[in-house]
Amino acid sequence: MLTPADTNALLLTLRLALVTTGILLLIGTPLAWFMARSASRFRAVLEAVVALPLVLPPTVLGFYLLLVLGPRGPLGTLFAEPSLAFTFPGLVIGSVIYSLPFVVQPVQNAFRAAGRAPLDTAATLGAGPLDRFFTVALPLARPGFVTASVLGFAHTVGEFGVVLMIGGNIPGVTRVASIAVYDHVETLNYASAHALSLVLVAASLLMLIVVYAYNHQHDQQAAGAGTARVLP
Amino acid sequence: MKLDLHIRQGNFRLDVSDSWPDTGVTALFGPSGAGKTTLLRTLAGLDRHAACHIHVAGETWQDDDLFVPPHRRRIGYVFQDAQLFPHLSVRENLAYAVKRASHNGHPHLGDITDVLEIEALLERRPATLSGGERQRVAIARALASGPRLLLLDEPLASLDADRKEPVLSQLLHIRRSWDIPMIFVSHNMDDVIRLADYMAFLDAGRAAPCLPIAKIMTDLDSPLAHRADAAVPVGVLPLGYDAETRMSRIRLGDGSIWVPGGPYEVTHPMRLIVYANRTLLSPPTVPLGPDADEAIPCTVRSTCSSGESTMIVVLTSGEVEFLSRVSRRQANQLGLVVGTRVLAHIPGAVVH
Repeated sequence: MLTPADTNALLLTLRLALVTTGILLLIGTPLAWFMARSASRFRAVLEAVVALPLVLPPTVLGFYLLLVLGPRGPLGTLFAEPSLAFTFPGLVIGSVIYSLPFVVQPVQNAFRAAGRAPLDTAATLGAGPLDRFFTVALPLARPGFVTASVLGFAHTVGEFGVVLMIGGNIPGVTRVASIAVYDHVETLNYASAHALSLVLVAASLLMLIVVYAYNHQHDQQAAGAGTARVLP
Repeated sequence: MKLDLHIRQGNFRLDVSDSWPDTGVTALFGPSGAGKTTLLRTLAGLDRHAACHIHVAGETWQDDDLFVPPHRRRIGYVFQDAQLFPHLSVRENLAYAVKRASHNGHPHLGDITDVLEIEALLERRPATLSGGERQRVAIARALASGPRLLLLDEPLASLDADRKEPVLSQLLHIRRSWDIPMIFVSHNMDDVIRLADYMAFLDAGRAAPCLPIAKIMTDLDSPLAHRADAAVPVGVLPLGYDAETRMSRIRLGDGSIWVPGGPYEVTHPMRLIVYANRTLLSPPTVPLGPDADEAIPCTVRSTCSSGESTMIVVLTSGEVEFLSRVSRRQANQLGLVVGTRVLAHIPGAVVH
């Protein structure tokens, strides 16, 4: 069964995933908007940078983050003593970067699928740029945001390499569920590994079922309305 | 409004330098690909091209230094495919426009939904509407934004004949009810003639001067008068109503004809569309009394051969002019030259 330490690890994971997803939506939305609408050449560079965490081994990402956030890194001592590495905020920073493409891409696709026409329409009805963004672009991209939130959350729950590199394994501070499972296996404590893994499998499956069901339902509602579906 | 537009996009060019009326309905007529939608979008500010100057009703919307964004132009724009917001109900779509409308003298929302007959649709989602219903809601929404100028981009093109008819008559109703200048893009001659007062003919990126439709259609140098669907809108006055046959007698030039429907109010401006192909001519042998039916005495103003074996003839009767297409044989029999007096018959005429 779950030990108090495992429960702690699960709660920490939940907290990390929630904070990360929240920050990602805040950062990712303007980024996705720019990437969906801009025609500048700079866009390709930006897209590549955002997609980088998809192709890099998490340990590479973690290694650089460790350098940047560590006691001698440029950001390391800026916000915390002695450094951001091996702290919860450090973990959040790492997770945000690692999960960025999983949030930006669905939102970007949703903005692009909605197209320019609804925004033009809103402009002719007297809506200024911000007004158009909040009353037309965001609501039309809602399925993209649902997908982005669930994927960002799930991907943060599932990360291991980055966390291991910059978070270490401090119980209650940086010891998330995936690390805890690794520890249990290392110490041949298969019963605890099973219990924790099962919780993760069940939770992840549930989340994905919810997002797919939502997307299918939205497909049917949007049939003929010109809204493209947004699936991962 | 004054337009001075010079647009280059690859091989496509659009050059318009003209003054267009600030009142009534102006049709922007031309074949597909002529640049009609480009012109309309530029006018609305949805597309921004260099070398374009736009002045509307004493305001500058675009010149070399200035560009007023579309949301500050107070225009209504009806897109070809309606473009209702799919995430909002019909009522919310209309409310979106009302909320952002400037509040001086725009039509009342109740009157708008009334004219366009969309009250029953208010709680529906756009995805559940038919094409004609969507287009009616889109027109209502554009009106609800209190526009100074209504731009309609082929609002009837996507509708089949059955669905088109009610929308067309609602647009006519709007033209009568509210004093909102409209620019109406169409490639359908019949729609233009029924709806518009003025026409600018756009072909391959060049616009002919914008003039009253009757003037353009009775100009035999223009290719439009030679089209198979050529027609002229003429203003007519109701003279009386026969309740038994449910027909009204209307004055047309120096004569009068019976048309179905009525009674029409005398103050109600009406137009009759006189189609060149359906206007028949006969010699002026029959003496005409004041009650003579179905024959309009007129004089030939000009003639022009049009096609292999037909001629197109411009006829004058009183203050109106219209067209008739006749075979060369018939023209010879009637001795049609400038100044010839003939009787015109307009069977199946309908007023709008």
